[in-house]
Amino acid sequence: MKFSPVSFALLATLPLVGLAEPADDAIEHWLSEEFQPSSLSRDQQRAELNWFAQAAAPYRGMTIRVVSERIDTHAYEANVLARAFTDITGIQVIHEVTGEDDLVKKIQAQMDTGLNIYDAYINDTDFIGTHYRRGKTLALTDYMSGAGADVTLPSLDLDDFIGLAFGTAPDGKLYQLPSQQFANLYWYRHDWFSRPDLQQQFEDRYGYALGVPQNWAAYEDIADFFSHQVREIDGQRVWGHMDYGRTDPSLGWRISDAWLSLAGAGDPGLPNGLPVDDWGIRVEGCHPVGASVVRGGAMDSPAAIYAVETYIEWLQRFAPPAAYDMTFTTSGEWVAQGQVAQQVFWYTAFLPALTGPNSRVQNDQGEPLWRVAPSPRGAYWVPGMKSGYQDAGGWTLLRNTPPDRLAAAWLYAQFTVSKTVSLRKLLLGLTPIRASDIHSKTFGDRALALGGLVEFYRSNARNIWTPTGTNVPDYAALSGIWWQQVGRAVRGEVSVADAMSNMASLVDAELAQLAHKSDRRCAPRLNSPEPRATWLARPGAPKPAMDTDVAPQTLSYEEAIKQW
Amino acid sequence: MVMRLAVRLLAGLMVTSAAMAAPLKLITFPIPPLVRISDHQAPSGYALNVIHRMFELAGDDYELDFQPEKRAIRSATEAPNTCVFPIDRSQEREASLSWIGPVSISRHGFYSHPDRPLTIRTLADARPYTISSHLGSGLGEYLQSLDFRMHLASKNHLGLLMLNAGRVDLWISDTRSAPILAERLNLRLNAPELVFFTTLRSLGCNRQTSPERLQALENALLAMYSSGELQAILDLEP
Repeated sequence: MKFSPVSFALLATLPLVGLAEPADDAIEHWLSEEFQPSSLSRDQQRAELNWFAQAAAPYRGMTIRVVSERIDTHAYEANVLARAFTDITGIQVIHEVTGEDDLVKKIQAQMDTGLNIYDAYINDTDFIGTHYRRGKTLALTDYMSGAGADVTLPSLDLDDFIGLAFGTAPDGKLYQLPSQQFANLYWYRHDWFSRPDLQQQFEDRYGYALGVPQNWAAYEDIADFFSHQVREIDGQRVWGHMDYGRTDPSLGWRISDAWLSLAGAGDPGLPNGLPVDDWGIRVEGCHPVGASVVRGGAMDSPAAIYAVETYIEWLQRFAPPAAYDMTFTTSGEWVAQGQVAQQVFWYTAFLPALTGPNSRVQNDQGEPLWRVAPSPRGAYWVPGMKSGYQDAGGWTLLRNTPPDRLAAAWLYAQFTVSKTVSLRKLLLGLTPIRASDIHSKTFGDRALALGGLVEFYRSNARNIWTPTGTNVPDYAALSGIWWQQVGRAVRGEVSVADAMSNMASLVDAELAQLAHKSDRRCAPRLNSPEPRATWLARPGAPKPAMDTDVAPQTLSYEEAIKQW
Repeated sequence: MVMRLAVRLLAGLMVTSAAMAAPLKLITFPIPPLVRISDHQAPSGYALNVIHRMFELAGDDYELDFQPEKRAIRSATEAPNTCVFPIDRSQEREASLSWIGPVSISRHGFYSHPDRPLTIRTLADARPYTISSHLGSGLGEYLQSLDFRMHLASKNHLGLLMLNAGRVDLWISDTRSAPILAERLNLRLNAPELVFFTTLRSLGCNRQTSPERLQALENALLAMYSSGELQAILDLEP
């Protein structure tokens, strides 16, 4: 944990010039009523909020507009932190919360049209390759030391942020400052897995212990066990698998976030795999050179096809029928209803739904009946590859924002991640961003209730579960291809092999278009096509087809989380 | 001048096989000042102007039709070579149409009755109240999905009448349209309590529409943005 006493000493010595009494009242009100606990002392919190009130003085009376995706953390920012910031600074904030794809379209529109639609975005760092290349996004590193120096919080303490690397581009500059992070982890019903009768039944049928699956073979057996053998627990239909399949933008990031990488489609190397990343895009230097196998990519490789075929097969065989028509949002909250035994990758952003009053997956004492653990891996996965996906929503400022609006928005952005508010925000939204909060006693005290989340974020695993990386040169342009092609395969309109082949060709075509845009740094330089067999015969990804029928393996929960 | 010339040159290049195809059927609905429709005058409005210019630049052609917003969206979803504008693009609608836009950026506000003002500082403040919107409004559907107490009228102005009659506490509307509708209905209307959401109004086309044709239109629209031609039309409110 890094503490910066010098920063707070500096804050305390700043003269409170022009600080109106209403600001003092507001500060005391919010410190008493909302911003406890904190990793700061109350005096340090007060000094930090006084700094915001002072720094915001030139912008008082202004209205700014920001937007973020629809998860609990951002709802808290929009409904509570925005209000507090207005009370303390006099800057009104309209913090819109919307679907992730809607946000993607909006930031794309601002970059394409040059219109000042929003003054700041909380945009997933999956966009870092876009921001670095397009030149439309402000490098926060430059802003903090230059034009934005006077509106940069002295106690911001960047070293305390756990996800700074995710928002940092190959030029070493920070473009996106994390406001929330959540991971994609294996989720399962620890209470069911611990029942001696179910353990015995499982071992009798499959010949090994019911436990946390380490590979897809074991996951499949467990899915079969609960969906087809157990079927009912306490009079209620239960399912051994959960996913979602609606043709919707969120289907795309379900597959691009995790399915290909955990199947093992790319190469070893963190954060995303080199030279072929978790999307199956090959990169040379900083230049993407192809997604299709014939250009050295892995998007239509045997491993990628295996990933999507497994996704569809499990959706059809083991998931509740309703999952077919579900999305990221609707399926994420569904596990709280208590009918799911396990989920191969579950977004921890939905943790508040599991710990809330309507949750059916906690006992009478409010203790969780579930746990999170490392996700099982597919047959092509090898050690050294990323172990899962992590979402990091980062504050992102576009260069075409007028300077005064930019300054006001940057003040609000820092407010939402300041140490004064961040621990309280973490306890409500469960999406950690600061080491000081993660290692606080308050967060540690909740370890039992959070089913493994605290252990995950206190370990090095938080660095191995990574977002989409810099190889993806235009996330908005490319992400639509995923859900449209995978959706066709889910609906049975084309085979998975054809869908992935189409997808790789379309991505290559988009890369070719981007290659011709002279304003892009590290622009794609497409490899010339070579026979598929030639690339598959070379070491690394794209990998040739292999026998995916591996021996199933499980571990106890205690053993499984030692990997963290 | 140079920019204008560039747009004209681009227009020339974009005259493709689309010009040979049957005109696209574009369905719209009254939403002044974006689209104005009356019995006595030709349809007008800035969104219509944007669409017209975009087709001109792309060397493509269209025929105009009019339907209520919700039905217009359904028609475009189901009928080949049919599009609808200017509708809110949203994640929920993304998969049902192919999109070109934005043709307008819309801000949406909560309006209370002039005699019964309410304090709305964040979206959460509106949760206890009954709210009117209209069928086909992407924002109305969005708030409904979040379990707000929504009443969706068949047309936008009916939502305002519901507010005026005291049948709802709040009305949500595009901030450009709201004062025009109020004036037409001769109703008083205060400034919005909160301008709380932004949508990208776009042209949504049937999914079977030729990708090349749509790409030409999209390129034309982007050229209009790049040239500055759209800046005046889409002058944003702060």
